[in-house]
Amino acid sequence: MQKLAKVDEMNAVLEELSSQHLKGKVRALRLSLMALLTGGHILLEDIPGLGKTTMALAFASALGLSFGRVQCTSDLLPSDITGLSVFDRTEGRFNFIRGPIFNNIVLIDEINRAMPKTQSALLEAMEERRVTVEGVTYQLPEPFLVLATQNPVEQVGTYPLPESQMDRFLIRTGIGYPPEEIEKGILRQGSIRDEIMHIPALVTTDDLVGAIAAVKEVYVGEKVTDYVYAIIRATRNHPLIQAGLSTRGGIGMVDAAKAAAYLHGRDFVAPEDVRDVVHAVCPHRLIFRPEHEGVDKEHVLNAILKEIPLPLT
Amino acid sequence: MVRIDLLLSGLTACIALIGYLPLQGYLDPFARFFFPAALLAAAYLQVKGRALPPRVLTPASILLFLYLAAQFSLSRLVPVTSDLLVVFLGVRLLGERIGRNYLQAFALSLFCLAASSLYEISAIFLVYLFSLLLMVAVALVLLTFHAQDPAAVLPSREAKKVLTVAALMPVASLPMLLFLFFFLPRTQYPIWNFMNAPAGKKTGLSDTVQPGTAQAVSEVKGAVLRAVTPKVPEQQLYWRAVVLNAFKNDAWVREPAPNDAPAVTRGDAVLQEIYPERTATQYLPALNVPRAITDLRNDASIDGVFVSRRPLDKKVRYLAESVLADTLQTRRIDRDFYLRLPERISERMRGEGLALARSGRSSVEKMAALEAFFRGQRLTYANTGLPVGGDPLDAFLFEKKRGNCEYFASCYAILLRLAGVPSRLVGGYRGGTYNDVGGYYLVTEDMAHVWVEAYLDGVGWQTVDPSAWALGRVRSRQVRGLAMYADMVGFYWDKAVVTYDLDKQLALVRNAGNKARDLRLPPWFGKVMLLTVPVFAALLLFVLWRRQRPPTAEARLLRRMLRLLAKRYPGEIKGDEGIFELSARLNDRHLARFAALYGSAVYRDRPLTRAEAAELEEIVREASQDRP
Repeated sequence: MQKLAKVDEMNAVLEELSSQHLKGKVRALRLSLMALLTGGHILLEDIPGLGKTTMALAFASALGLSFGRVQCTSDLLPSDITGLSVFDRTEGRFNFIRGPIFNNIVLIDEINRAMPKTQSALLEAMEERRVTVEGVTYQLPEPFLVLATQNPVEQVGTYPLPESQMDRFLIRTGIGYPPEEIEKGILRQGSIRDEIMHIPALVTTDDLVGAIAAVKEVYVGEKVTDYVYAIIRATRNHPLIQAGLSTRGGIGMVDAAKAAAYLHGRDFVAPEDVRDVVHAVCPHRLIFRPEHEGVDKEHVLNAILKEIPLPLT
Repeated sequence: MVRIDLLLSGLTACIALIGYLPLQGYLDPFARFFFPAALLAAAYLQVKGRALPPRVLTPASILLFLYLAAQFSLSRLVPVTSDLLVVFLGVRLLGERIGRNYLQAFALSLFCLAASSLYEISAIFLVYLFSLLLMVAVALVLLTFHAQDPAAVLPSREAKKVLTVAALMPVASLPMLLFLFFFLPRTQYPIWNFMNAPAGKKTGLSDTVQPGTAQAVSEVKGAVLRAVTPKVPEQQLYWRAVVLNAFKNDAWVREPAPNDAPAVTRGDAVLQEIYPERTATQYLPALNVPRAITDLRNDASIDGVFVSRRPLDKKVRYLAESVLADTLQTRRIDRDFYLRLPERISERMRGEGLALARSGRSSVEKMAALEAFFRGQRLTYANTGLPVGGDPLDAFLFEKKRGNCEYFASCYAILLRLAGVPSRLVGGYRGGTYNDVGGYYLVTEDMAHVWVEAYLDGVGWQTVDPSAWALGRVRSRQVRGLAMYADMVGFYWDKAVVTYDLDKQLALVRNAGNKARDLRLPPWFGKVMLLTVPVFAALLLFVLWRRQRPPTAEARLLRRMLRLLAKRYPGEIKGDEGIFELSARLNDRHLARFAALYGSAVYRDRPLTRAEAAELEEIVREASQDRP
């Protein structure tokens, strides 16, 4: 098996970040990197103050990428994200001022506070990877990752993302409270926001582009496809679920599994890679029947996974 | 709270006792007393929490070995070995209480029990064996605790659980034991003891009768035979074994029966299924008068005596057919032969007999007169204080007036002969204890008896028991209660286990063969079966093989690897993990190599190349040899 391009560098970044700066956020970091490597986006769903922004900042610095941030409010306009043309008096023409979206990593804080119009503009940019303002199309930089956050507890004055738009996010995950020891350490240390501004870049953009190309090349075999399809079909036939996984959801699952396999140093996807990512990729795409709204999606998914044997041979 | 070490020591003592007890009767005095002493000493040491160190025990063992081995000879092979086993067992108990010593004690106990079967095979062996198996199994389980921590203490509930599980193991193996019973070869007699055992026993029946050789007859209470038969009236319970018809040095002996006409007995036949104990004689007793004996090769004489063709040195059984009659009809006998007299007869006896002979009365009247004479003498039946000396019969009749059946029968038969009536002695057994539960008669040595047959012209041999004319006859004790059940268990053991031999195993096969031969089938059946059966069998085997065998080489390799891992990491392999997950979790370098190579083929949708397959084989082989 030949060596995968840049895999050591990627793992080194993960290792460095999770051991030095962002203790207890390994999973979220890894998922974020996976989203970046597959060209997907990630939705972090958790209460404020667990270090979502810190993580995004550190992530961007360590990868040597530019970072932009949008704090959503109900009066946020699409142009606040994409940028707008301003008339230059001296030159006598309009100059396009680029918005925060023109960065490699864009943190959209509390995305559910923005009004639907803004949300859809944003989501369009995420999907198309380009922005059209006043008839001119601008290509977004490569690599490009949107890290959106939303607070699942607060409901007043929010515009919850409809399921169809949730589908645009490759991965949805929480961050969770750090383990006791680590949290105590964080309390002792205080905020490290200043410190992480100065994390040196551990990789170059070329490295990242190389890695992204390598992930694309990861082989997905028939057995894995069968396994993925079995999961999709099971969600579609499940009595509690109204709408199972879409084809896009299946593609997302395979893409994420590719990234997981890549991070494991493999140039092919194993079924356990798929199972590894199911919980990040699938739950937010499942629509339960109205009478079963309250059921825990993770539990249902676990039950489904238990039913389907891992193809070993 | 249960202390494992105490429990283990107690069990070991019991196990050692079970090794010792069955052998105890056959040991030399030294070994017989050494073992209990060692057991007591071991108990004392246990209480004191001490043990004899190896530097004391090893030289002691060597000395004991030399002492015992000095008595070794080819003829004493087994006794010396049993002594050694028991002595070493005792020594083991004294040693340090560690696993090795316990295990040696268990093994020695088993050997001792095995050695005891060289001397004696009885139902009690089964009891010993099962208790030993049970206790050794429990002790072995306890030993695993002891090996982990010699001071281990278990809460009562836990201890109960452990003991139950440990005890269940040997119990679960019982069906297997029963299954093996039908197939394994066995012996019907104790291998070592069969030659000297009958000699060691004092048999009540002998083929010479000479009253006056001993002052007292010791009553031996051993079983002689057991006969499965319906109940018979008490007065007809005579078991005929041998007929003594001539004299040799004034003792009644048996000579080949003269040229008599064949005897005929009329009446309903009583069938008996007889299980004799081992004995030195070869006479086959049966209810008086036996007509035929089958199921055991034997020679019949016309006087109703049956002799086995082979020594009765092992447990056998035979079927006897008897007629309960007190006359044996014959038309013609050799009168002179049955009128011969011993050389010495006292004057008083000769006078009595000749007086009767001269009276000119008929044989029946002579017999009646003699009975009157016997009764008139007021004779007592006894087994002690018997007349001895120069002429014991004379002393019996006229002076001491006490004696056993031999005196009665001898005197009566001689007097009959003096009076001109042909007579002979019949040896056998009188009586029998009926076991209502088992439906059989138990005849013991102390029931040995001698009676008389007198020949009446035109009638035949008439049975007369002169002992019945004694003043009082002390009846032997009856076997009752527990003893009866114990005897029954022993009987069924002999019936079902000991006499179940190779012949019966072969008979089983033969019977099955015969049955199969008699089966009527259409003529085409054989050919069709001949064709279809192998085809079906092959098909079945193939299907089973295919179902059991993973379809591809990859799957077979993976299964081997997973089985190996399951052995190495017990309880870790759940079967719902991928191989990469598993290798990451177990951190097993063999599995990591295996997974990388295996996955790169299987998950890349291509079959393994020959080189890869070989390498995977190699990894599996290495992993199986690599002990973590």
